[in-house]
Amino acid sequence: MKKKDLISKWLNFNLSDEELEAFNDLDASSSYHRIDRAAEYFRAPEYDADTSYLKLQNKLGHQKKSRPLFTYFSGIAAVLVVAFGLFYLLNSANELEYLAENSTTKEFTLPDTSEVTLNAGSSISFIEKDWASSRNLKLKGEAYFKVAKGEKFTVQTKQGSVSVLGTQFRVNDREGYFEVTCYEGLVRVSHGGNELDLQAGNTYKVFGNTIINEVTALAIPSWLENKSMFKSMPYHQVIAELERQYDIKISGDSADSAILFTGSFSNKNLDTALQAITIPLNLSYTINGKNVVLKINQ
Amino acid sequence: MPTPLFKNVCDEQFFSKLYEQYSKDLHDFIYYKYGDSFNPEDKVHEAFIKLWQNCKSVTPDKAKSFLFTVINNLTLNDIKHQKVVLKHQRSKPKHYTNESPQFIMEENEYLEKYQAALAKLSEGQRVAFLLNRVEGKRHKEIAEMLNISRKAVEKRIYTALEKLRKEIDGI
Repeated sequence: MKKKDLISKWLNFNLSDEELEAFNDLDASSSYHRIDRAAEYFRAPEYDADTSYLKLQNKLGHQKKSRPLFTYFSGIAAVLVVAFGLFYLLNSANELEYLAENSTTKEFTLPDTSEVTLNAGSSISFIEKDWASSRNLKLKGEAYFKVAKGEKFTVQTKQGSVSVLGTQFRVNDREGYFEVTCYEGLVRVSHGGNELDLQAGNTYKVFGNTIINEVTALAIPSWLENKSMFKSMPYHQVIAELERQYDIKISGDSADSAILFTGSFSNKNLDTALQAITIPLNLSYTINGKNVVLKINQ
Repeated sequence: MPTPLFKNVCDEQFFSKLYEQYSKDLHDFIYYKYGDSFNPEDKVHEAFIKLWQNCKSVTPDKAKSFLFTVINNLTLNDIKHQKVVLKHQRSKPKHYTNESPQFIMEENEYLEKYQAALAKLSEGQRVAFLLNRVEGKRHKEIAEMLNISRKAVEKRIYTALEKLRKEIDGI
């Protein structure tokens, strides 16, 4: 008998005694036997038809009663899902959003080759399909723009808007604080009903009722070089910036919030950064994971 | 089913008989073919629910192939060809006990290879082979379950055995 037939017969539990002997004489017979024995390890889980049938009866009983209601509701649900889907699709299909989480900065290029760098804890969004006709974007937080020449480029924030033709500038819109610095060219700032043109090398900032116009010597924002620099900045804004740069929470005592801070901290090393902003104000700090507690030195 | 006592399967007694007769085979068929990435028992239930819903149009002699076709389609809809890995059960079988750590280690290595080799078989080969070797079904029975010829079953099982041997022995 051919080897293949012998094996097939063995597989069909059909071998006579002599055939079994012949099978056992095959070179690979021990392999076959072992495969056969070990197949047991792969047995399907226990199955009991009786208990399973009881479960089925439950399901069938349940199904008969509830089915019409279920189909009715699933119909409504389907309509709602489709309606919401369409609504969502039509409304937000083309809105693009870029986000830099706390403790990161992000750089990217807009469709017109303008460049944007987002500082920690900031985001911008714009409608992609409208971009070609109107360069209009929304900013939350702080970002630096290098605008390619072209149509009017507008950055809208909660507190004001900035528009330009082609230049480099930075906008910082934080809770209770608004700042624009122009590094090259000319930008138009509109804020609280006022409009003003800001020339290269100038900063416009607003906090509370204070409006400051000042000159900056920097060619690019300090945070592009991993440093956060402040000039006459309310102290709580400095703390908030530190929280965003390191994704931490700062609590405890604070210096008088009317204090204006001038100085800088590193965005790379938390210890140095904390020293830089606490020592001048006679504060000490303790780091506890993502939490930092400040204390006034006696 | 020689005597068509019932015109269709709407009779509850007949229906429960069908369950007793085929549910384990259906369960094993789905398990060996597709693994346990979902619950094979649920699939059995779904198939019988389908049968019950269509009981008027299914004649008794068609019930079996109806069940096997339906359960296969239901499962296919669900799992869209994900890779099937049948996990071997470490506690079974009982006839190897009090073995040396060396033996246990070798046995485990063997089973890992076996498991990988089984996963490489086609679904058709795996289900035929395991129904044959584990459940002790003859070629003819499997042919009826899968609705293919006896010869085709023989070929699938033989090919599966050879593939497993080559894969495991590393030939």
